[in-house]
Amino acid sequence: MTALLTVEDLWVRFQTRSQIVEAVRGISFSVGRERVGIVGESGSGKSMTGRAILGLVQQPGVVSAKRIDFKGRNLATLRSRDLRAIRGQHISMVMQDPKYSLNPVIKVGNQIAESYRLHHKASRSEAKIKTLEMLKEVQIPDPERVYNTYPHELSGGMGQRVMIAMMLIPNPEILIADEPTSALDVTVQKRILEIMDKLVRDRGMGLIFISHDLNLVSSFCDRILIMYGGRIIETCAAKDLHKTTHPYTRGLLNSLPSLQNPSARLQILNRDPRWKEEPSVNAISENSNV
Amino acid sequence: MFEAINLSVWFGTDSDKFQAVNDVSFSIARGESFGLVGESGSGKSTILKAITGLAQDWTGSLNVDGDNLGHKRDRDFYTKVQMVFQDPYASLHPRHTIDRCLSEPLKMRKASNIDARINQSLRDVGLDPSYRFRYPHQLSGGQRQRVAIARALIQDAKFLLLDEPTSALDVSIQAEILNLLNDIKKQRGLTYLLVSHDLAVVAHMCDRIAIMQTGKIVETINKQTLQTATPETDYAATLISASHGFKRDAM
Repeated sequence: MTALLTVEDLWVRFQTRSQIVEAVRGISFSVGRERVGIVGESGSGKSMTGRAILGLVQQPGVVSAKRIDFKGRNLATLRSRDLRAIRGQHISMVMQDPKYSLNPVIKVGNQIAESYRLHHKASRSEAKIKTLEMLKEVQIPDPERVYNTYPHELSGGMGQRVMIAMMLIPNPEILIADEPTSALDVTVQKRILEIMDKLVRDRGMGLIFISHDLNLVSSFCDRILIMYGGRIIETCAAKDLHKTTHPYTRGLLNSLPSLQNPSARLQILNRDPRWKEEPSVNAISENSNV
Repeated sequence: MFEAINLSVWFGTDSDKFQAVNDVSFSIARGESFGLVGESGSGKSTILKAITGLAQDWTGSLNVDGDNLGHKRDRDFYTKVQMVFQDPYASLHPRHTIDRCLSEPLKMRKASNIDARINQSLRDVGLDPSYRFRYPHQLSGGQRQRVAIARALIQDAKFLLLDEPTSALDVSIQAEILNLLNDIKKQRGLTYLLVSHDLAVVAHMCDRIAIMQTGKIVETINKQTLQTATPETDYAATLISASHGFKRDAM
């Protein structure tokens, strides 16, 4: 068993004026060459987990972990210089909204080329060729035209494809996708997922897919971690989501309106304060195969 | 209760003029819930804007409760029709207390008994009257959306326009708000026009559903057909299959 990434006892704390807020409370999990979904409601710590791995938690947030092991290197103790060499090139992250994640005053082609040149010794013309190839790979119909556009000239779905192209061009081993399709229409969402799915399969990448959408994650990922109150309360194979037993997971599933089994009244989730005190489930998978 | 005939709505002027809604007709009976589904840019929210008077460049005819609407709305109109907006973080004034937000429409109409009515309206949406003097930032998203519903109902409006009322909320909170909307509707005999991109939500709430694409209604289906039969148009079928989650083609 050699996972690409093993996270052990990860904490994210925020010091506020009156107290310390713990956004992530001692979680452990691993990611192999597979699709791992992290699901939870707002405030469950799912996005913070993704950011903490890459050292992207902003002040006054403090990340601590026993280890964040990426192929034998402990990201938790790396200097920010060394972490920068890993971020982007080996592990990269796609954010929720392309509108806020792309530089609005630089042409998208140049932004993607920059991310290639940053990690490879390449000339401008080489980078441009690579960029056009990458744009084609994320199924942008007219790469030449899109290369010379500014982010505001693109639709949401196109913008998200540009983001994915930018994150994939250094050929990372792990991709963290934080709600990559939540801002998109369902039909566009489907296309983006297909692109990501294909790339992950063809390149043998590990994917951490962060989302609030249980149905989507269970149909897209291999393994699911369910987070609540900064902890992992349950983990399961994606296809076994309907077999889960934790009352929180059950409650979330039951509160969804369903097309197939309509009910007159939706079930309300009654939160048990004890859930917050339950120990975090260890989601280090023994059979994450490389 | 409501009827739209050959409604078209435009934005912009002259060369930038853009037709957002193209010749749309539908009617809603009293006590019915009618849903509009479609992707962004399909014109579903624009229809609501035209009804409330927020979009003024429209043609066709709009009829609420027997009265034809002109291009100006008077105060009485808003005692009949009210809107609940998508984002409860943006639709409540951040520097006004809940009390001020709820009392303003009553004061404008010089209503009596304002104090008791505010307490009652908070109780009706499942909030304790102790929330009355709080500011929006002291409430959670679900609580804010309850306030927005209370604000819409405080003038006893009978026809509510719901613009994606739960898309900014977590699913467990969404369930609470949808149940609340259904309960209130039953108690008061309200009529809803619900706009959403989430087919499952619309199917749960509405009796009839119109599917919109590029400013037109491409198909109107009722709840039963949605569950059993296949829809007539490809676009409706795509929307339905997309709401079932991600399907991986043969690997």
